[in-house]
Amino acid sequence: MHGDRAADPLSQREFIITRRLKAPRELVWRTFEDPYLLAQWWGPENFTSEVTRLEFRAGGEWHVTMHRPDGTEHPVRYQFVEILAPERIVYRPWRQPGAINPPPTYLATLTFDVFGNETIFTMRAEFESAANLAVAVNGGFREGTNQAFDKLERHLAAF
Amino acid sequence: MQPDRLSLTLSAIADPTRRAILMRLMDGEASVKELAAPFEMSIPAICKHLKVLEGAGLISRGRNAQLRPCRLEAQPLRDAVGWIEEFSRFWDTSLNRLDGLLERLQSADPMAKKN
Repeated sequence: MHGDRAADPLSQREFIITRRLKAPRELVWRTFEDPYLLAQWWGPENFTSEVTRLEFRAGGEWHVTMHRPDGTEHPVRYQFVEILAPERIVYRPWRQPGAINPPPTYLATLTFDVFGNETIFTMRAEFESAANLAVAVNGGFREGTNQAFDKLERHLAAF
Repeated sequence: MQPDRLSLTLSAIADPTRRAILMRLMDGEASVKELAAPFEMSIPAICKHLKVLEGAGLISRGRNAQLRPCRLEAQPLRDAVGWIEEFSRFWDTSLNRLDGLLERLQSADPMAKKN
């Protein structure tokens, strides 16, 4: 045992999104590798993204500035952990040391699997000490959390 | 170094007993004895769970008298759900746009390609 908190099984710390993309794997890979293409799709609703740095290799940094419609900017930084073309990209968000109540850190593994002439894309976010979110969904927390969990439920693999 | 609050929240709600305690507290504050009643658990065992919940900021306990009733602090839970929801929405939105981009790239739309 390390530390006083037993690690949750991996299946309970993962957040998984899978999509079938109607394009061959090489093309899908290019939309991640090419900063020009990446900027065209990466980011929250109504934001535009600007990829200011993309060192597409293990240890390389990936900086994106997301622009809100009202003009405010949200710079985010990630670091690549592994890149295995054209199958897998592993990265983690960079967190400012000493930040007050920072967002949780996670390890994201993106996999690209050939499916005929299409691609199965999987985003697997592994949180450090996160819990069984699926069970939390089933726990049915009320007071406005239910709806959020309902949406979340569709994206969770562990049931 | 600040602890990662979301991880703390999620870790606290990982346990079914602790979730049951939170569910009970949604109906109003309760004493340790009242919280222990539905479980086949000793008071010290329940107190251990309460400490975890309190440490994660999910409950607070009254300071007066010996009863120290527990009450739910909903905000950290809302924050945790909100973050996860935002994260999932980010990917949904991005992948929808990626769908569109891939379609344009394959239909050889010159706007989608770099020269």
